[in-house]
Amino acid sequence: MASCRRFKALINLYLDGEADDGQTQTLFSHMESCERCRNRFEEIRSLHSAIKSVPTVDLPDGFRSAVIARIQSDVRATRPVAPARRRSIGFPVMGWAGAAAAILLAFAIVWYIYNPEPALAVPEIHIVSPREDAVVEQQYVDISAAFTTGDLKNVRVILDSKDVTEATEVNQDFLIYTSDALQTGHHMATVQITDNKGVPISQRSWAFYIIPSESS
Amino acid sequence: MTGIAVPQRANAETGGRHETEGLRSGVSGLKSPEIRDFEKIVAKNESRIFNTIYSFVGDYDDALDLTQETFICAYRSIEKFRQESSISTWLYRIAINLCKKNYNKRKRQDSIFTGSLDDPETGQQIAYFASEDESAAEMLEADEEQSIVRREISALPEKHRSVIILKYLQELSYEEMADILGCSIGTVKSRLSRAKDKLKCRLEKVMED
Repeated sequence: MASCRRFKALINLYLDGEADDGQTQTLFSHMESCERCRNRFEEIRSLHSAIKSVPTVDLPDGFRSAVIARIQSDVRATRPVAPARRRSIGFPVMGWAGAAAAILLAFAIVWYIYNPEPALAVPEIHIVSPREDAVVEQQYVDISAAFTTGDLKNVRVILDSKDVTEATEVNQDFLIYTSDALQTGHHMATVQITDNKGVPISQRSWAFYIIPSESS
Repeated sequence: MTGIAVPQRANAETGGRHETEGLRSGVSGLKSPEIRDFEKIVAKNESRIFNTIYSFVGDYDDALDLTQETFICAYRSIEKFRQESSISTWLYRIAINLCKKNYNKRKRQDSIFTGSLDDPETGQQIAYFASEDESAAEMLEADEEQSIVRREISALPEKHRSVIILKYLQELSYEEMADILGCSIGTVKSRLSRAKDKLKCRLEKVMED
């Protein structure tokens, strides 16, 4: 029965739809007289049936729109900007006013080097939910982030260009904004940390996509 | 004769394959990709790519994320698509690579995760995978046999899982699989044979228990 090893390969080839007519003929002629190979044939065939019985799973509604929206937002973000017109910065072109400005700027740099402001630690912002580019169901939307700064009044949360800081719960190092009024579609969240003068010193923006929840 | 008749056609046992050849058309215009053209590609392939990924990772949300990533990745690199294979083969290749990357990342995370759950007193593991109870609950609801087969496919080593999914769930040819996996047809055949032996053993063991 050593030759049956060869027929195991032929059985696989045949059941995988890859055997040619000659191989099929050889296999079936052999199986007429070989019970072992007939049993093996049935075993492999029933394994194939079991695997193929695994049902396919449907994508949620709106999946394709989410993919296309994400690609469109990528395209917008990477669209090349027209190069600015370059001018020579030689003194004859700059004129005397330009030269004076350059000298003032040089003085300012020297002054800054010798009288530096104390360096500000740049706070880090970590996105917690929804994940960047996530597709989320409408009923599960919490916008939350963790950050490494202690001054709560300097945190801003912007959702789709609207400041929602007032409605956001901000703890010492964590914020969460919950809304059940978010529409399906593409959204952009931004968490911003500003210094005492209101100048942003750290910012994270991320996009996500809301689809209708299964129960709706 | 013992009841097994020689069939008229060698492919009698396989179901219909996806018409991947047909997807070659309409791609040549993608040198400068138009989103509307690309949307057609997404429409034709989203279900098969999603189901491949879902069978591979076994988690619905992760599968959604990875499917989205597959198409975004494809769009970004469509100029590199050389049309030596069909666009669906190329998408499968991207999807499988992303699944492998995700699998390796998960494996690292799981080893850290399970390590931290060791009882410091006894040194015994308190819990293994947090999702195991959830899977058990889901299995009660779903058809048990199909759930078992899906779970056992997901438990196969990555290279065996890939060939089972591509051959029997996606019904691809050896040639297409070799193209997607970047190996020879001989390797596909031997991997598939070993994968089926392993899966058969696992299923027999589950049925015995």
